[in-house]
Amino acid sequence: MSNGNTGNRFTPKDFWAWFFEVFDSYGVIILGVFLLIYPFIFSGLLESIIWLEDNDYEGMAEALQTFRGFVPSTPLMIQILIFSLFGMAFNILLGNTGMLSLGHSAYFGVGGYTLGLMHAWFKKGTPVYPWITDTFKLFPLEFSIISAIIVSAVFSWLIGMIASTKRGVYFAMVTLALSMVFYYAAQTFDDLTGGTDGLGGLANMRMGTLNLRVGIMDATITYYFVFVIVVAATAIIWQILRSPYGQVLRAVRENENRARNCGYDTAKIRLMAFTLSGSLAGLAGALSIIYGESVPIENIHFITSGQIVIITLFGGAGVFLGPAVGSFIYWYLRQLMSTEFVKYLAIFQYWEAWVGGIFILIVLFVPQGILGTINNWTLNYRTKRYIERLEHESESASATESEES
Amino acid sequence: MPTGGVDLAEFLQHLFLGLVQGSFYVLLALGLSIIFGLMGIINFGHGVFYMLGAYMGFTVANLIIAPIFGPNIAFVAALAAVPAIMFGIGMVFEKYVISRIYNTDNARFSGVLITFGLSIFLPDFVRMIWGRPGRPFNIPPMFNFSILEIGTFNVSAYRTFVVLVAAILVVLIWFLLFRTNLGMVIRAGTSNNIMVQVLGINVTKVWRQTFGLGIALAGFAGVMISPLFAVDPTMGDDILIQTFIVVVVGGMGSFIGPVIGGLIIGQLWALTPLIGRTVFIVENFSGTMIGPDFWEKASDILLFVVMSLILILRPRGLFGQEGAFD
Repeated sequence: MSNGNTGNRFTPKDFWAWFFEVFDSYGVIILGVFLLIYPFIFSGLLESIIWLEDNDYEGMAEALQTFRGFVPSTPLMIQILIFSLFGMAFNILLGNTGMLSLGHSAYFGVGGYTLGLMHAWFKKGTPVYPWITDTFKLFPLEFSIISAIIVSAVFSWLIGMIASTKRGVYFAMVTLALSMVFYYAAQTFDDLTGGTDGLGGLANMRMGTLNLRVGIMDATITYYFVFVIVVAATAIIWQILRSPYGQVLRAVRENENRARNCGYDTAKIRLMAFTLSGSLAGLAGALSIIYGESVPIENIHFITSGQIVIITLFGGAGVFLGPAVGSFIYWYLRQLMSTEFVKYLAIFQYWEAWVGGIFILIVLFVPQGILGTINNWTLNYRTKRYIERLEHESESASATESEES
Repeated sequence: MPTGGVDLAEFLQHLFLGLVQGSFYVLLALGLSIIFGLMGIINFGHGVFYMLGAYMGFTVANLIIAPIFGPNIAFVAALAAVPAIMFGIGMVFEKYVISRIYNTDNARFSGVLITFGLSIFLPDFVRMIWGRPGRPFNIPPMFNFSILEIGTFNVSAYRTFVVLVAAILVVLIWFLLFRTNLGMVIRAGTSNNIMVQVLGINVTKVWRQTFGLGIALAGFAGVMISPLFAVDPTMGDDILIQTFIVVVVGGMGSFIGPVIGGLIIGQLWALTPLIGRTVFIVENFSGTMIGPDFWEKASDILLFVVMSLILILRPRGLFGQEGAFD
């Protein structure tokens, strides 16, 4: 901890060194534990407000109430978790393969619509083979989530067949255009999807194996349900990205011709990455409708693709946990603007303008995102410290050598 | 809803509407294609610039000039003023925002991201200034008559005016690109940018002017379309996607591509609802008919099917340069 020349004093430099060390080694664990106990923190806050009001501490209760407005609620944390997963799925493409897809809302929406349609379909009692209905009634949520992943994988594979032969900006343009076909389809087949109103009334979602009821009735249980799935999916993405396949993805990003000359079928790899990313986006989309119990049509509109691009670039496209940080900042800021800031300044109700403006500034001035920039700072700092230490060691070594001689 | 055949008048009417819609596509796709060809930036903000142009036209015509000189002069003034205003806005945007990314290591991506961010920023910004609901914008009284009226076939004067103006603009742009010095530089820059710089031509200025030109075209299309529909902040969303389809179908890097592509897509957009009146009436599995109601709404989807087919069969588009879409 000591720098040698400062003696035993604990300087700010030492603090930052300590901080980065902890951040590096235990950051993920701390984050995980914090997320694990989050619903209790929030409900504890709510209960303490009620307790203070009951016991006539009006002033303190009001102060806590004001403070509560700045604490993200459990439903907001559900949204943040889901969009972290979505962003990490998106980051398989943008950060690792170097493909900028502007049409990921399609798979996000398709996942949501699949989950919603499965529930609506079986509730209506559409005639199918009885064993299908029986199986579905045993495991409704597992069945729907798996089929949401499969359906969005199929669709992203189909779109990927067309789009992934394109590169760079053409890829962005073609994916954006092709994603809108899903939006128009959702509008056209409105007897199935509910048209512009979205698909609503999906109450009573139940997980068969644990006999768990998720939905708007119980935010905490839904939070843990989403949390477990998001953590599992994150672990899968992490494992994929550090496997040899993930290395090939980054090779394609850096230099596709060289990767091809090394003997990799880059077209196939790009298509695989696209399908993987699309199916995980479908999983995120399926999760995103559980708490609201309805599928809004905005899920499938390209404004959602815009959101996920913004989230990923806020956090940092090249960093694994970048989208998670971006998702937190995006949703938290949005929530603050539309509920708290707007009380003081009416201009904050136009949050899209703020988000778009901040996004442009970030692309211009902080292209690596927040976590990427922090990583760079710490990298510089760590490198400097490392070099200092090396020099110090070599000096002392030479000093001892000269003493010996 | 009649499920019989389609009579000639109705067919002609749809053909005409397709021509009108196609001329808007042509104006937008030309601007997009010129900007892309020279600067390598796909302008994802084209739709919102079109929307901004419509609002500028609304402001100039309905709020400033109409109370003094009447709606006719106001509309003509808007037609003249908006391209100039949008040209300025485009140049300013290029100078202060887009020019910052030219020498970064991932300039094309950044260009996409910045213009995409703009397309999120501008609608809300417009809502901030002009209010949330859309604004009505009437057809100026001098165009309130029909040139031709046979049965249901009705050629309104304003739509004819739109087609004529679009045709004149296309000819003017052709003249600009192929018969003037600026056009020569633009075309040279499209094929080899660095060589043009080496020859001592101030490319920065040409880029700025080209970007302004594309934006001015988009704004002009916005003013022209606003009497047909109301002016509202989300009007740029759909047309951006449709412009992309036009560009993919017609092909980038050629002058004729966006023009022909725009006309084709316009016709396709207008004629699809007629399909349901003729032969394609099928029952789907849930018992509802894929009939007229379906085809009325299917024109949006059919465009994407055509685009996918073009992407599979002829990836560079109908008139695109070789290697333009890889």
